[in-house]
Amino acid sequence: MSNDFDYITVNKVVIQGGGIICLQSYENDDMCVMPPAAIKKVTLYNKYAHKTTLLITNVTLADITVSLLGTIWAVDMMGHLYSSKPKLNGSNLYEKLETQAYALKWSYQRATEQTPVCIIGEDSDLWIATFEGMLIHYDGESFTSFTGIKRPIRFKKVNGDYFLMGYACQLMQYKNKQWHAMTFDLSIASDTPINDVTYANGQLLAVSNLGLILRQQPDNVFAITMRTPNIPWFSCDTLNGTVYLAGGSKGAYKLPKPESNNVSEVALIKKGYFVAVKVLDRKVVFLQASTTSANFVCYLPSEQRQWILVST
Amino acid sequence: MGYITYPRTSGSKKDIKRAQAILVLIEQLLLSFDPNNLSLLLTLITRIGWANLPPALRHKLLQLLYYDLFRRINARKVEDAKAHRNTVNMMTKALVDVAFTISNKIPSNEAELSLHERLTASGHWAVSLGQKVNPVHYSQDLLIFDNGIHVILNAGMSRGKYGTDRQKEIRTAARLYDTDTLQTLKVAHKKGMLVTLNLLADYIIKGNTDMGYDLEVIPKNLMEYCSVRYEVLKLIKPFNSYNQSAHANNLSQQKIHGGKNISFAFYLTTLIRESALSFWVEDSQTRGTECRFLTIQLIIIARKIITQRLEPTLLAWSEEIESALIEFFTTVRVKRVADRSPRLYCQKEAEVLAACIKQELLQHPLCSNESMPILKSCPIAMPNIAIKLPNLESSENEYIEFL
Repeated sequence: MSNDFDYITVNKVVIQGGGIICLQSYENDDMCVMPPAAIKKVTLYNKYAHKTTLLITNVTLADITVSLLGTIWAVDMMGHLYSSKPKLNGSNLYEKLETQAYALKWSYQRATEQTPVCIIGEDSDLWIATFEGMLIHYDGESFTSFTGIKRPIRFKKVNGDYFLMGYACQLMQYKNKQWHAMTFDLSIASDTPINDVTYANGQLLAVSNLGLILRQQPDNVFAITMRTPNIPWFSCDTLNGTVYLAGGSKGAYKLPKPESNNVSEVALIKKGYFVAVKVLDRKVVFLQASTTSANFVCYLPSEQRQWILVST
Repeated sequence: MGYITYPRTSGSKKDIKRAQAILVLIEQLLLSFDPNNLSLLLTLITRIGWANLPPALRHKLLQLLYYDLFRRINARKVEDAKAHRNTVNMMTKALVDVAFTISNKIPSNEAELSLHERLTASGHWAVSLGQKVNPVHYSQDLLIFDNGIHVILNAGMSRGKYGTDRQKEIRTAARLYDTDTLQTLKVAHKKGMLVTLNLLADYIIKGNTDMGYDLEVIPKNLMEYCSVRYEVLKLIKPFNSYNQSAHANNLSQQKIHGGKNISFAFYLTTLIRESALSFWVEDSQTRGTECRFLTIQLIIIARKIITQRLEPTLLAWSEEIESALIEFFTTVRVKRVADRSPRLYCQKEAEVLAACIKQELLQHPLCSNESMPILKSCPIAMPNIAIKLPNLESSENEYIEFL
């Protein structure tokens, strides 16, 4: 049945217990305003991967997150919040919404009339950012709205803090129970997208698909440390002090460690089309652009078989 | 101490003097043809500030030029047909230039008018658009002036404003227009009353390594013309024709696609003609990719339609797409030009590109056999959301080495 779709993409991976929770979208070249989505769990064994479908929806799921208690939370682009536990009230914003739960006791409810883009947090301390610029907090009972950033790209937990980043040079940090906007050096154009943030060697590092790598300076301002005009950086993450980067059609890269002699260049580690990178359970997972079958790529730096393709 | 202000005269003295000189020359030329008088007249025409003339004088002058003098010169019986044709053609070009100069002065609140409407709106002459019987994508258009002048509109990188290979254009026209239009076109050509005009000639810029168009200054109303759209769409790199992309998608061994192919018709495959251009956007729904941004935009439009229970017209819907695309180009799409740092599109560039794609959307139903008035409720603008869910079973798979 999944052959009915031209593209099946893994859009996000999150760790939960011994498995990897994947968010997938199903698309066709034609007539598909609203790509359906699936949440799956993939367990990696020595020689094979076992995959279980958890939930399917006919509206696009914008993002998923997993709380410390293991609850999977998701938001769809029509404004519904989903939980893998039966705690939400089932209220509906769109009469044609269809869901199919294969495992776990899923529930959903209406959360906002804006367009949710990303989600992060814990069961009673959950944050949703909307495309229109609102930050919605869910305390397990009710929703409260705050001003966020317009056109956000992603939430990420880095070095213990939540970050929200987006287009037009926007980055916020959640510290001391408040969201703070972070500042950028004046040489950085105000329309520069901030695609991802990571923490390496005692410093915050941000990347942009305009081909910029930025570092937070001692005065907390982000400044450009490297320009790579031909490589669009979609994402970055850190394993053992090494920063891995997804460079779109230019491949997978890593940053040289500070002690290396050649710190002004990035090193290509694999050719491919990679639009996200995430370190999970000592594995570096690279997500590919529009794949026809839902695969992701796993890089295991210390193993003999370093690069494997995992089917989901 | 006070000072006295004088009422402004309508028009500068210099231009009125030129106008009077032109009137004298027209009178002389109407009596007897003198090539020197004509070349003097044509020189004066290029130098005159038409906006500075009192309206009545301007109108009188233009009527004499366009109708009386043009007809008289055209009807001269001369032995050297080739020279005669060149003379008429020279005058045709001068008159077309004047018509365009004056139409550019039409107030900005009428900027939405298409070119032939703007030309007519000046009030001096009537201009119509040649109706195609066999529309082919991105082909030339034809302006027909009521004094017999025909202007084939095309667009390209050639710097010359007026093309020289009119035979080629006529061959193309033969495939597009009905026999009557074709007949008048041929007559106009024979008499020297046909010119081919490069609509983008004034907007060409030359970079260090290549030539391009200055997107920021191309007027949006030029997007009405197929040939202009073709040139502008080509600026969105990478682009390709729908045919090519369909072919690429059928490659069975291909595991990774360079990107998803978004047609200008935005998922409306039923309306996509095979020759339609399309451009690539990155990936599907992963954070920070172009396709995800467009999906969010389309869903916002769809949700607005659903929740407000609207029945959108094709025009209303294409306007929503236009604003979404302006945001796409200014927020997400990276413009890469050789030898320069990558950047996002600026507002004006984005507006021109989005206006161009909107026109494409509006043209699709016009080009197809279905008649779909752009102001009537349009079923294709309704979002298709109730899609069948994929059926997904649990399974186990061995790893494959990623090479």
